[in-house]
Amino acid sequence: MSRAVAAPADRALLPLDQYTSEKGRELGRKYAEELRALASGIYHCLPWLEVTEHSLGFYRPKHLGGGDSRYLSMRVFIEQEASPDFARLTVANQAAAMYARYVAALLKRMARSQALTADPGVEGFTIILEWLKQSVRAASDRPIHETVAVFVDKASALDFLAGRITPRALADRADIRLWDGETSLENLRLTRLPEDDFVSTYRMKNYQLDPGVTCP
Amino acid sequence: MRRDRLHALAIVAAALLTAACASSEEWATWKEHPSHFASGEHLAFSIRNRSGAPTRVTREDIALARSQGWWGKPITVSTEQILEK
Repeated sequence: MSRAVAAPADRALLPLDQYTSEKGRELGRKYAEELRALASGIYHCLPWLEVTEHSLGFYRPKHLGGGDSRYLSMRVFIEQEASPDFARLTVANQAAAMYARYVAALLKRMARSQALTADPGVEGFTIILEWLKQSVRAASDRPIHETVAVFVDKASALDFLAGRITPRALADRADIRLWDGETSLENLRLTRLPEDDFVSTYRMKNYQLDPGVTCP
Repeated sequence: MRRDRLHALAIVAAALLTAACASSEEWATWKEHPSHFASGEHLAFSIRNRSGAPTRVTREDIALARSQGWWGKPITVSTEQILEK
């Protein structure tokens, strides 16, 4: 892979010297190539997503309290056009729509490495999705993002990926948290989970992959 | 770019004026219009197709369009509030 292709992937990874525990750092070191491949795959194959700088790594979810539980974590900004249809949804329903569209697809990519998923040091997965809040604002106003964070323990993730539980059951087991800008909203219970195959079916018109890149 | 922003604001304003609780029909309508979810397509075209000739869009085009369309530092929850390194 060329340097130009590899660079965005390196930008996504949490640098090893920023881990606060040796356990996290060792996981980051051990699976660096897998993380680069994950970031590069999203960069090229899902180009409307932007993996946030240094967000890809083995973070510890804060709400888990004591211990050093390391989850493979990634934060993604979803770029989208302003959509009246989307704007009509409540914030919770927007989050549910984003969950339905992206969580399973990204979880599959994150769990692609058997060595990584089998590693007892990896205890789960965190997927953070954010998008631009659609609201009327002055040109000088800062944009506001809505954010949903999804925490899935490894057993639930593997059950889902092996087809032992449904997407609905995965959503019930996941810990899903929602923010409007910087304001934390109540934890999200998905009351409906629409089927959504956008990620696997959508092809950006006239998009040309870089030489040497293939997308599954 | 300024015209694009005004256009986007007009769309958002229209959306808010007609906003209501989501019905199944509205949900379905949103799902049926996936182009709303790929503004890179629109932005990249605006950069490369000024001559009107059909062309290809590369990942670099999209990154460039995104950087040009960025509206400033967003108000959002920080990763540090959710995760520890």
